[in-house]
Amino acid sequence: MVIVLLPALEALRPQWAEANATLGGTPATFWLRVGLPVLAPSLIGSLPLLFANAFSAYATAAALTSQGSQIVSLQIRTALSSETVLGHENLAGALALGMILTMVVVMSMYSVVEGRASRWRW
Amino acid sequence: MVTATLDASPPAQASEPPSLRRHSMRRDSDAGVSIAPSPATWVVVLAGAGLFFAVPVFALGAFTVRGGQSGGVTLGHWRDLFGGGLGAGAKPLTDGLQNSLLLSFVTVIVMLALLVPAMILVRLHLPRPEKVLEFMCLIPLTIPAVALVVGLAPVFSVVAKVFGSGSWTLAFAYVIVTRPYSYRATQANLVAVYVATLAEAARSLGASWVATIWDVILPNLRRGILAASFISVAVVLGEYTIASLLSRTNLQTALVLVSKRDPYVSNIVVLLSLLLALALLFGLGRVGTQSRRSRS
Repeated sequence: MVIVLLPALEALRPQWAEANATLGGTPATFWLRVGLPVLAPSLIGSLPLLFANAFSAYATAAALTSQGSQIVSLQIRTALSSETVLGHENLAGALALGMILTMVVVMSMYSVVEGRASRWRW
Repeated sequence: MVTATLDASPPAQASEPPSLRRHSMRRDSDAGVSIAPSPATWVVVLAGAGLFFAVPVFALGAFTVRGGQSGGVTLGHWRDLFGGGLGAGAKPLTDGLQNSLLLSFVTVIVMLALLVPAMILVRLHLPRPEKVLEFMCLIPLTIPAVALVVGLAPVFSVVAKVFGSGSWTLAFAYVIVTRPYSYRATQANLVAVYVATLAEAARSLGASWVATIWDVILPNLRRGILAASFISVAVVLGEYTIASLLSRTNLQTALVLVSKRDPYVSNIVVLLSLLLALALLFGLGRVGTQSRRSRS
C-alpha cells in the first residue's frame, strides 16, 4: 500500500498548494478539493492490491493454525498433503485455478484504476 | 475572506524566503504555503507510525527474556540457544539456516546467469520482445505462491529424479518467485545508463562482444545487479509456502517447527533475522546512495 501510494504522494505538486492558498483556500480545502480527489484513484487502486495480498496469503495462516482449513490456500494444503484424505490433488489444481482467475480479475481492476491514477504523475 | 488570507500570508513568506527556496523540494512547513503538515501533526504522525512498528518488535524482545510461567526476567532462553542447551532441538534451526543460505546463493547465481544476459540482449537488439519479457517477469507477482506450488509439485517430482531431493533444488522455484523483484531492480538500472551507446562505443573501438558485456556494460549495471541480489536473498530467506508444501527444510519451516517445541527460541531467531534484514536494507540503501554520489 505504501509502495503504491508513494509515487502518488510525490506527484502532489507544491504549486497546487500555493494556488489553493492564493485563491484563499485553507489546508482543509486543499485536501478536500485538490489533494484527496487527485489521490483518490491511487487510494482506490491500492484496495485491489490489498485484496490480492490478503487473498493469496498462506504463511501466517499456516503457521498459526494447526487444525482445519479455513481459507482457500489452506484448503489447497489439505488437498495436497493430507494424510487422511488421499487422491485430492485434482481438487488442489481446481482451487489453484480458481485463485489465479480471481487474481486476474483483481489485477485487471487494478490496472484500470492505475491508468486513471497515472494521469497526475510527472 | 480572500483578502484576509492574502494579507496574512505575505509576512510569513517575506521572513522566510531563503529557507523556502532551500527546502522547496522537501516542502517544509515553514514555507507558509505548502502541503506539509504543521509540526504538531508531524510529531503525532511520526509517533503513531513509530509505535506501530516499534511495539511488536519490543514485545518480541520482551518475550525472549520472559521467565515462562514463573515470571520474571531471564536470559536463560538466549543461553539455551547459544550455549548449546537445546541439544538436538537446535538441529532443525542449523539445518534450516544452512539450507536457506545455500538456497539464496544458488538462487542469486542462477538468477544472474539467466536474467541479466537476457535483459541486456533484449535491451540491445530485440526491442519488440521487451514487453513480453516484462510481462513474463512480472507474472509471478500476481500468481499466489500456493497456486504456484500446485503446478510445481509434479515438476519437482521430475527434478527430484534428476538432481536428487536436496533442499537446494528449491532454488529453481525461487528463481521464478524472485524474478519480478530482480527484474525491477535490474531494469531500473538498465534504463538509467545508455546501454546501446556504450555497446556501440565499445564495438567501434574494437572490443569483442564478450569484452563489451563484461568490461563495459556489466560494471555500469553493478548497482542494479547488487540490488537485485540483495532483494532476492531477502525474499529467499523469508520464503515459507513453497518449502513447506514441497516438504523441504529452510529457515522459515524450521522456525515453525521449533516454535511448536520452544517458542522462546524461535522468537529469538525471528528477532535476530529481523535485525539482519534491517541491516541488509540499510546496506542496500548505503550502496545505492554511494554509487549515485560517485556518478554525479
